[in-house]
Amino acid sequence: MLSKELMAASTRPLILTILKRGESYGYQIIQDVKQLSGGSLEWSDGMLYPVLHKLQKENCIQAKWAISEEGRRRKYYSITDAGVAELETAKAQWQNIHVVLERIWGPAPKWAIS
Amino acid sequence: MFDLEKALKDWKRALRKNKQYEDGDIEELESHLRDRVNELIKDRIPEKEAFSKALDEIGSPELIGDELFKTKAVNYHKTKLDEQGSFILQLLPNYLKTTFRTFKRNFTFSIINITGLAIGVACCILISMFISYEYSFDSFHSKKDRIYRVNKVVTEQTSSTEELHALTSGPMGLQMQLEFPEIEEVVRVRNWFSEVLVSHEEKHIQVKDFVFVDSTFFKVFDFKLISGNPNLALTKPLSIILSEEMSQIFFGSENPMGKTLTGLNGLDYTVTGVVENAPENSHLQYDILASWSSVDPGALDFSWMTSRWFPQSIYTYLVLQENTSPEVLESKFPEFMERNFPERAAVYQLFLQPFNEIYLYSSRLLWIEPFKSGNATNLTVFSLVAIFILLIACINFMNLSIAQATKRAKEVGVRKVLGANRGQLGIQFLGETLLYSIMAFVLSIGLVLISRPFLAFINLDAVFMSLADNLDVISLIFLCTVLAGLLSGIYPSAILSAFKPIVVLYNKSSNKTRGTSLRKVLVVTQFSLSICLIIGTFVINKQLNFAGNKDLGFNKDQVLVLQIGDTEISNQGEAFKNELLKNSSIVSVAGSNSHPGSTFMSYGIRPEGLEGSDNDWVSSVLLVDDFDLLDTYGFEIESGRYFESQLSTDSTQSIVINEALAQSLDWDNPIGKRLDIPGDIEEGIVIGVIKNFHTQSFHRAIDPLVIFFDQRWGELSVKISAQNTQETLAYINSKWAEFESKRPFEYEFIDQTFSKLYAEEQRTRNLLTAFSGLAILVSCFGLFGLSIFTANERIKEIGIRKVLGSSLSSIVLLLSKDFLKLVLIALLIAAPFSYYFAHSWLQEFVYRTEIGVWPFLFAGLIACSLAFFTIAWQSIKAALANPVHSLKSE
Repeated sequence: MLSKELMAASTRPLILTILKRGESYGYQIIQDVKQLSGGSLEWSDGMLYPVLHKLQKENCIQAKWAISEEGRRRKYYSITDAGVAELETAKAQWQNIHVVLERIWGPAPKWAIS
Repeated sequence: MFDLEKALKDWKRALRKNKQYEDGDIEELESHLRDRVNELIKDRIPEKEAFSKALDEIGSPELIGDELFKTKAVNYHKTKLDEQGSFILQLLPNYLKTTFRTFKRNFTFSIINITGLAIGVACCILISMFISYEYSFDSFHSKKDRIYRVNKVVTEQTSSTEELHALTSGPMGLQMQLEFPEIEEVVRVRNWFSEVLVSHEEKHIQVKDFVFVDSTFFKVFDFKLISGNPNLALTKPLSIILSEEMSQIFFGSENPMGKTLTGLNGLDYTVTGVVENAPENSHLQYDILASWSSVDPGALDFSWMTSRWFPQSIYTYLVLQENTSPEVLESKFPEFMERNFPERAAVYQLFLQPFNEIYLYSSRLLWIEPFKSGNATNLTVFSLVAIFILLIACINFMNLSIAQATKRAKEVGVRKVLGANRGQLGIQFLGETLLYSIMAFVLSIGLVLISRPFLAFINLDAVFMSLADNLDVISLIFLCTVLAGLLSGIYPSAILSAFKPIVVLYNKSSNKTRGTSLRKVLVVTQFSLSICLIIGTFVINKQLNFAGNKDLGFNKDQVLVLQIGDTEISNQGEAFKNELLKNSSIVSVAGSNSHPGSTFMSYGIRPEGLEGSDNDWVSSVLLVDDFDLLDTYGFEIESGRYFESQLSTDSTQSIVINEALAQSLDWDNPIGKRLDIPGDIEEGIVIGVIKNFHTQSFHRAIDPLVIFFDQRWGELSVKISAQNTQETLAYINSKWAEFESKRPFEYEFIDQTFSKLYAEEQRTRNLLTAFSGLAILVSCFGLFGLSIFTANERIKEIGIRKVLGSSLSSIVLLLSKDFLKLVLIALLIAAPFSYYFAHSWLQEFVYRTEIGVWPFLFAGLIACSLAFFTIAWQSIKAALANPVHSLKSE
């Protein structure tokens, strides 16, 4: 179980990474996160939305309402140029931290990241 | 049976109660929920379980709501200080909206507020324009800092007081230039003593300012010569320069150069130049300029004016060399007098008056009638009035804003709760007052423009000529208005922004008493200032009434004066007089050289027992052409007798003196005393003493006077009966036309002559009346606003009192008496100040009224009754209101 702070910090690059692959919507994003993390990142599904809204407000992602295959209204998100740049910065920062921690602790067990 | 749709509906309804969710947020969550439920159902989980599992996974709606709200709300406490400015800009539309709504909600209040300030500012603008006009006088001459007029202090033996005269001897200026190298230029000026009839072909014009000047006139002053040679135009005898206006009148568009006009003493004058009209703001005015050589023998033959030292009839202006001290030159004057005019060296003490002080600082000078003159003291008074009125208006502004402030306590509370700090609130409310003051300024400009016809009515529209030049003054006043608005806004905004939200939102009445004591002080100040102005107006009025009603020593009613000096009539005075007397409505006719209300000539006299040199004693003289003056004016004889036509010596030897002369000569029984008038009467005998009568305004003491026979037919005083005045005037006109063909019939009633002597005072009175009226109006505006406020504040109290049986009058009294108390206090404060000022103003008059208690009583009565009527309207309204309405809300 990750601490709240770390969760909050890591969710943003995760979402951006997912959206970089293509347009998506809330439920799908949650599923992707769960799948990517292999269950190690546990959070309540609803908490994703405030993060999405915050990112949207910061112009990292944009949103539009569209009709889904089921005929329901659904809000789709896609990444912006600013979001891509933000993701690159975050990536560099996380990798820096990763290198530093790895230097101190040695390589992480392989299974932790799929 | 579980119904998914119903469950979703209930869930959504519950979410909507949470204000942190917006509809979009809920829909997005719903979509998520449906996706999850669908997937769970695919995994064969029953609908009901799937729903509760999905709900469970989504997490706490409260926490999500909190997070969602955080993404929407901007946390201003975390914004940097330098970003707060733009934050205020973002709120500007809201501030404007609030201002507009407050304006609309408190319409009466706001209008009173703005109008009051606008009136104050308009007064200020008008007075400033007037003052700046007065100070603009004579400022257009390039040498103005080096020009001086030679004046003198006169200490006659016959009068105990010093007098200041602007006149000098004719030869004095030129002699000074010969003796003192520090004098660069000299010009002698004399406006002819009366109007001059000037004719060209069929045109006959009475010219008001026929002025003799030296050719140096254009070197000393910057009056622009349009045609003619400035050095030569005024050298030859009988040369004249016309003003543009005169040239237009006589010659239209023709070139007047070289043409001749018939002028003073019926002589022909040659036009040698045309000069621009004298600007309105010049103390020297002219219609026609004539050369001094014109007075020489062979022409006008008045050479005594320029060649003799004794007659004092010429104004002398000097231009000093650069860097010359006038004081040093002045110190040489006593010796100069000893050398050139030893007879009067002890009596005349010459001094130099700086040119730029001539217009405003000549009120103590005598013999300045030909010139325009202003009064610096009046300007000070008016500046004070302007400041007073602006102050009153600002106080109003402040007072009403404070009163209104308490109404806005809730708004302040809410704004504070939403995160506004004191600075922001202060800026908001200051901004509002700023907006109000700008509106007031715009309104005041409108008021100023409207007031123009009224100013024309009191002969002050000249100030508008300088409106364009006054842009700097007006922009200054704009700044002052804004500053005044801001200053008067500071206190209310400080009070408002200091409200504690918990207090104002919880208990609305806790702020009631805030600012009341200050408001009272302000009302008292306002009314004190207004009452001062009212008392001032009353005192001036009283003095003017005193001057108008006091016995002048003669009867000024129904007496008119005809100037016959340079008409055909003066050659046939006796015949014309007899023609007039044929009309039964003409009571009496008397010929003399002067009349009460005009200036008298001064002669040297030689009284018995006090023979010294020729001119040791000086007295005013009145020369009579016949012996009817006593009846015409109703003068009274104190002792002895008046002239009698049967006695031939009465037209050669007899002299009548006035009480003032007898007194100054210390003659207890003057009858039979010897009194010579060198050059006119040798071996004169005093035959009677006439009671003192006023010939001048009450500013001046009654001068010693001698009356003797010297037939010159200068003017006629005609006493007519009160009936058929128009017919009588028509009759005189017809006789005039029979005797005099060129000059139109003109006359002046003596009572008008006398009232003209107080023109300056009348102007001051009119202005002060207007301004004190406005001051009290503005003060009442403020009071009106406050009374609305108080009545509203005490509406419950009034309701309870009514229920308990109070009468209408007792409630009106209850509401009014507090304000009336304030007005009474204001009266007490204003009384000593205004007494002091009125007293010192009256000192300018030799004959003056007592201030008495009436001005104070009247001012108090006016202030109290106006205040009462102002308040009564609101009080009665409040007292008549049905108590049910005011009491039911609690």
